[in-house]
Amino acid sequence: MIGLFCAFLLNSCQYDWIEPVEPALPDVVSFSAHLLPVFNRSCNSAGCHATGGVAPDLTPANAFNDLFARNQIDLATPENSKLYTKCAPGGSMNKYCLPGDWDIMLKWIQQGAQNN
Amino acid sequence: MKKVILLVAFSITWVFFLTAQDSGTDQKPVNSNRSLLGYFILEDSRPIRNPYESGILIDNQTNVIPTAKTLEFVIQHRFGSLENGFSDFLGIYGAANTRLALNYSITDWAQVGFGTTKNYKLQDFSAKINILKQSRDKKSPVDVTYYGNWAIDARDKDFFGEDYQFSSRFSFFNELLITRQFTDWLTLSAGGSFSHFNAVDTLVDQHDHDKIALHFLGRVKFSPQSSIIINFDLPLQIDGLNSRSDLSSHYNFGIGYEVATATHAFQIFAGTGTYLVPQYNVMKNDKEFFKGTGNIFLGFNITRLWSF
Repeated sequence: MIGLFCAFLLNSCQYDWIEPVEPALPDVVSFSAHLLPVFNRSCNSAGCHATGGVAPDLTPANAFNDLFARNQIDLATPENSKLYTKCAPGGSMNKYCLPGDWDIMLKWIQQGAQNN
Repeated sequence: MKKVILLVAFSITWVFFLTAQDSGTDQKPVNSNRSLLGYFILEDSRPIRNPYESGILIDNQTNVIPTAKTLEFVIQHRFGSLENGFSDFLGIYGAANTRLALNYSITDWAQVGFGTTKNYKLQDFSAKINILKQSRDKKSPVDVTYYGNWAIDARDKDFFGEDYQFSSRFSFFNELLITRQFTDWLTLSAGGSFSHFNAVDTLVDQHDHDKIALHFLGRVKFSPQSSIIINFDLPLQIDGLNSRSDLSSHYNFGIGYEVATATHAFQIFAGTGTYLVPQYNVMKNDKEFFKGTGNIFLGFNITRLWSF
């Protein structure tokens, strides 16, 4: 068994590059349909950005108001919005986001960051 | 070249592992040097007492393997960064990472283990071998220890691109560590490691597939139970090993306080490494300790031993 395991490990080394799959962006990004699922999946589920946890509160009931209350949205320069920069490659929360999440966030801010 | 390094590293791991299993039932010579080579070349030499209090020191493994048939439970925790000061209580209310692990000593010089980590949902299998132990009669001036692991990233397969393969989740770490206890109160270690990631995300990851790193550890004991501990990892940029020249490496530094009893060790420290699995610290760390509070994280390690 161990010999088989060794053989398995020796043949396990690869040099692959992952080309990210970026989902097609919707024409109109909806806060409830596109952003809240991201928050629920990656931000508030482990109690981090949940009510009483780390700011901003990204639970469905509070996310929209708290993003503005804590200056996470920069409507004048959407690329500088903390919501986007934290999730995008190089951001401290990037490891919790899936490829494409940051594009959805950016487009939502570019479209005026509506509570739609 | 890469394949040769990998082949040698894995061969060492599993030859030692096999040997460890085979000889696990052998009668141990009285006063033997409890290490792999110690059985053969240092039969009458007694090893020094453990130069560290636990098998882990901040972000690195030490040479310590508890006596045979001992189960070691490890809790590693890293809080958020100090960046927000007391608004999130020095990161204690911030995003944290945690690893829980169980390690079992098959013999006095071979240990296998399994751990699970929050970030990246890592599941890691490890092996540690004491190749040589520092002896009291100075026949062996140093400890030589091998540590290797195999980690599996258990996140959703969407993270691994369109051409998903299960093996894209794998990463490996192989390290040789040399340790010397200079006095009762001073122990230093230096080691070299080879890390490998099977798959690298071209958009998200700021690293290549392979990395060689140097590791330095130290302990200054200032009371029977208390020590100052230091950890320093230095990933090396080696042109022949990297296909991407646009990447840079960052050192990992940590310093802290350790208090230990016969069956427990508790370490609390400030450092830059938050990934808890060594190849992830070597590859992915982008923090440097002396470049602001956003790069420093409080953390602790707890180990508990049970003998059977």
